[in-house]
Amino acid sequence: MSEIYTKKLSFAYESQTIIGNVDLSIDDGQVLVILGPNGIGKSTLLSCLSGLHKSYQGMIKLEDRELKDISSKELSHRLALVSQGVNIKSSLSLYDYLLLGRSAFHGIFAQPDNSDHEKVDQVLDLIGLTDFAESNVQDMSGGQKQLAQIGRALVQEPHLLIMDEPTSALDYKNQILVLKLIKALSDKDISIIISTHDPNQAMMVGDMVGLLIDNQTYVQGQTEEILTEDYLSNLYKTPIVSTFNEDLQRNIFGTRMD
Amino acid sequence: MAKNHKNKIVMVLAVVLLIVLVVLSMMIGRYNLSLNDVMSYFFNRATSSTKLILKLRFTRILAVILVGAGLSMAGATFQSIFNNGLASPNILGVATGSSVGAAFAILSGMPIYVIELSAFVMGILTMFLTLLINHFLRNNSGMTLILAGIIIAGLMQSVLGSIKYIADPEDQLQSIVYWELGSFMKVDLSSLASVGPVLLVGILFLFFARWRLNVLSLDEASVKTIGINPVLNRNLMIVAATLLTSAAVCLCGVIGWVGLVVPHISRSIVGGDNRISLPLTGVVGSILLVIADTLARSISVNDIPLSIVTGFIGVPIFVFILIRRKTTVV
Repeated sequence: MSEIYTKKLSFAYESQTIIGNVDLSIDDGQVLVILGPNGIGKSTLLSCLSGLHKSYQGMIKLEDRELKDISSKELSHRLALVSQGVNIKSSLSLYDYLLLGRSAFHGIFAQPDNSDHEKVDQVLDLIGLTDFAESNVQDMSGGQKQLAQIGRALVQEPHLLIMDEPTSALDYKNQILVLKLIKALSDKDISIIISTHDPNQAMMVGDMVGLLIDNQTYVQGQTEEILTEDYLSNLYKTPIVSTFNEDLQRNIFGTRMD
Repeated sequence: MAKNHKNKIVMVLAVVLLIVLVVLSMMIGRYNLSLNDVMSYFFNRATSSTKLILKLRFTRILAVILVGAGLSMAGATFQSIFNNGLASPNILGVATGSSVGAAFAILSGMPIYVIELSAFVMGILTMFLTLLINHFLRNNSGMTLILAGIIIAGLMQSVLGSIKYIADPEDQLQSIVYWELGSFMKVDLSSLASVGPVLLVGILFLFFARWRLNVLSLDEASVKTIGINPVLNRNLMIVAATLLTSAAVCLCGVIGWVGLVVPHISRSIVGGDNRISLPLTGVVGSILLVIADTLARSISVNDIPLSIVTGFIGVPIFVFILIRRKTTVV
């Protein structure tokens, strides 16, 4: 069953079309990677899919129900969003920061209960930051902050995790850490949609790849079928070549500098 | 966890300190009384002359405790939802706005509950104007909110000035000037009975909603995807904090520094989690104001306006905390 799919999805802001004609779909436990140049509307697309922009045109079906008709409370139990480059400005400890995601399950006067604490402990273990539980989240490194944000989304126990450029502010080692986490989550049957600028990352984690080419064109398919020199060169308006690496057992993308 | 244990001890110590201070404060005054006198009052065995004095002092101290807790928790709430360490009822203009409402009602010779309502309505209106200016400044840095607050507080100060100008200097002017610097001198059982419950409701609301305050310090998109309506929730918190501020203004006028400084004190002790720091903020606020009010009514023959005392206590503490902290305030 499709976790989420769209038909002729478009979104306009102040009568200017940002994205249009997006037919996107992702199955349970798959990773969909969205590529596209700066300012093409990747964040807008992900915001629409997360239920943040409900004035979209066309159709978005989450688990076969129209997204607009699902309350934000219910939505928060099904999907979670990790926003792009949000600089965590919080004086909370990592533990208390993750606990915030559990508010999705409670009313305004509630306090977290044992099941909330258990879930936070599990997620801390999953993101490998158990030893940092009591550290102030504001004082953590960039990579740890990103993991903390993903952790906060995970304690919502989402079926679908949407991440807007989760690796963009990270050094190479931390990028790999996050990509490995994405793989591990997908193995746990969580469906994941991420956006990125790096086709190599799409190759590493993507089951499917979607290209936002312009505000009327979206192309999606299996990773191998979409990540070709032609598609990528056309997408970024710059010649991109690929070469197969025996060690990595996958294509690597690059550009000649002459 | 060890951290929880430490927090519990801090909280218990703070409550014990507050109780000790209340007893001390009841002993101190124009007529000093003994510990025995105070104890016999609580066990209903006091002589009629000391009973009268202690009843007056106890009423006043109860008001001080409620206002101290209320103003500090209002400050902590504003600081949380705006994610801004400089936000406070005074800096956002809410306190001045409320005193305009109160002054206007006094000028019209209204009874206390109308004064209360008028102060609350003007407090909310001021908050709205501050947020409106902040919105038009179209800049999400924490500084614009503070700037908007200063602008609107300035406006409200001028309105208050105009009211003072037309007030009857024999009677009304004195009352209005009294609001401006804050004092518990005129608090009696009837004013406490009419304003106290409002303060209590506001305090209890924020106390029970304290975990939600943590969530509201996140960015708007995150709050939404956690399934919480950020606008509705923030507005509820703003209403509660404004209610506390305006009720405090009705009871004792504008008291500076408490709402700004106390949340920083408790955060520097137990950290930023409102589940722990908000209740502690309430108790520390009461402690600080009990000390300030006891000084205000005992160091000279006449009561000293409270804002003078809270300023002398609050400013050095605030500077000390700002120097010590590692992260930025705004």
